[in-house]
Amino acid sequence: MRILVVDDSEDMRELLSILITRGGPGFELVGEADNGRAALEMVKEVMPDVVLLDAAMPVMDGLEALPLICQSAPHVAVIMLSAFPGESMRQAALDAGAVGYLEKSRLTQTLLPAMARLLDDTGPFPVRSTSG
Amino acid sequence: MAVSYSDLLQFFYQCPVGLVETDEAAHVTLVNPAAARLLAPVLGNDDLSDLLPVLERLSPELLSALTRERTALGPIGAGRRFTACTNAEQATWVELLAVRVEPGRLMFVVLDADREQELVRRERVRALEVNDQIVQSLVAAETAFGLGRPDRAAELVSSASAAGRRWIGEQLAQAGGAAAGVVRRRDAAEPVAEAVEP
Repeated sequence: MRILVVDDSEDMRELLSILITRGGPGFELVGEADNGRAALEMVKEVMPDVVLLDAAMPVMDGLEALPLICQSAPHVAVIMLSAFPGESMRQAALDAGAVGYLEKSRLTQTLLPAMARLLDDTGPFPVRSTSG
Repeated sequence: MAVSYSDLLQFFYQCPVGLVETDEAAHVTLVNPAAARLLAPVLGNDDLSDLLPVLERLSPELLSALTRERTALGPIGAGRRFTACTNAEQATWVELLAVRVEPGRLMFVVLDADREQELVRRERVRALEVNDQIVQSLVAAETAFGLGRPDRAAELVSSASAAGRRWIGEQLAQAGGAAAGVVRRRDAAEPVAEAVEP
């Protein structure tokens, strides 16, 4: 699984890359971006399977970038990450095309299992329709 | 030095602060150009002969205070300034004060509050940014700790703590308390375990 990490925090990108590496050979970090606009370019360039997309970023935030990513690369599964819990934000992310929404404070427990299920296609996430 | 009524009237009309005189039913008897300008966004095509609809729209709180203190002379609501938005789209604000000059005669002071509101807005945005910075560092610290990297977690907690200290320092400096360098707490700091919501 080819993974693109999008987060404006360099610390968070570094820690996510460590976490992804610990996931084993099935998970490969293929790129990093620090805002939504850069992520759009990176998606075209590296063709990831999964984008880990931070919700709050400068230049273009995750919620703004999400539908654009889904539009330009419908095969990509986007998982929205946020430091702030909130049902409205989670629902907005899912409505905009994310396959999942994870709180950053619990990523060491939730991210790898979630991506493993995505890899197995048994998914903890609602499956986004690919027919339309 | 004797001040004539015409001198007072000239001051009233030239005063840069908005002034509106009304009777007890809020019928306007005098209004100066500054008040007319500041209240213009609320009036639309209406004239300013009746202040009641303006108060109903701008500050029901002030209207309630006037009703509660219908016989009191002097400043209404202990001289409180009632903040009101005159135009939400253009974010224009005024502050209103009312004084019962004598029975049956009220003077309303209308102040331009755009600058104050803009400062408040900027302060809120800055507070949110600092909070966000602190939260981001703490979340990264939690992740680092979860990854078995306590040293990195400690660095990130220090970074969050530094951001918080800088913010408090800025606030103390603005409030003139930087020299003391002390936050005067109203209550003792809560133990972390009790402060965290279940």
